[in-house]
Amino acid sequence: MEHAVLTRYRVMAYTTAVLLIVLVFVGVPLQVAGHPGVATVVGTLHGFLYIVYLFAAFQLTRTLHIPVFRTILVLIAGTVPFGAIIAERRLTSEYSRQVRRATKGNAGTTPQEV
Amino acid sequence: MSASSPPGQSFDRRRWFTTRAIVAHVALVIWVPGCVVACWWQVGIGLSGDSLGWIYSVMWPCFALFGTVFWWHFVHDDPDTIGRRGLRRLQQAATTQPEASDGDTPDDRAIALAQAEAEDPELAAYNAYLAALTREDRPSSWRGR
Repeated sequence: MEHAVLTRYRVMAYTTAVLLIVLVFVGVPLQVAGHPGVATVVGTLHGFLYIVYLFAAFQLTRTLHIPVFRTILVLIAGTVPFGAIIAERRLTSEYSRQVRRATKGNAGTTPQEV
Repeated sequence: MSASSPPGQSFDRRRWFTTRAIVAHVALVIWVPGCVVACWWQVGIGLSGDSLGWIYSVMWPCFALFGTVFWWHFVHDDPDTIGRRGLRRLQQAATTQPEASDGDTPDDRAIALAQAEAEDPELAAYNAYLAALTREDRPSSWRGR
């Protein structure tokens, strides 16, 4: 299993999550108050990075054999405030669970554990 | 799918007509025109003077494309390899028949390797580690099934 797939997803999850939180809790109130600048810039940035997030998330869910419905939830999580952070926690623990399981399976074949 | 056939190999044209696949086709038939309509709506917003509309009108085709990629993988997935149960099944298959596809290795090479491993436990451990790694990598790849 490639660790780079997980790292790529985690970077994208935090980036989109932070941008969305800034957009929803700073940009939108400012826009309502009559200053649409923050919402325009952050909204555009989040929109484009969300597409990158989609591909990173899709690759990780494929690697971890995540079922379809949960995959869709992970993909949608990028558009919900704090959603990507929750999805990132779940997927990271699932990843480490699978790695632990795989290394436990190999313990019988490898005499010395490094 | 029967347990005797290797994953991905016995899939034929029937994969397009399973219940799973038909659900995927219906979802795609709704999703792509939906994205086109949303794109058209954003083009209208862009034409009305809001520059954000132009940006979203680029993004909706990207979502349509992504949906198509998703659909393709969904139809070509072996349902037996999905989820924790599928992963467990793959791991069990890998441990019960470790070197099943290793048919072209000459016998004397295998004997020489076994002798070398008997003399050098460190080499044996390393080879076992490599074998475990390849066994592990095969199910986790999502492209070349």
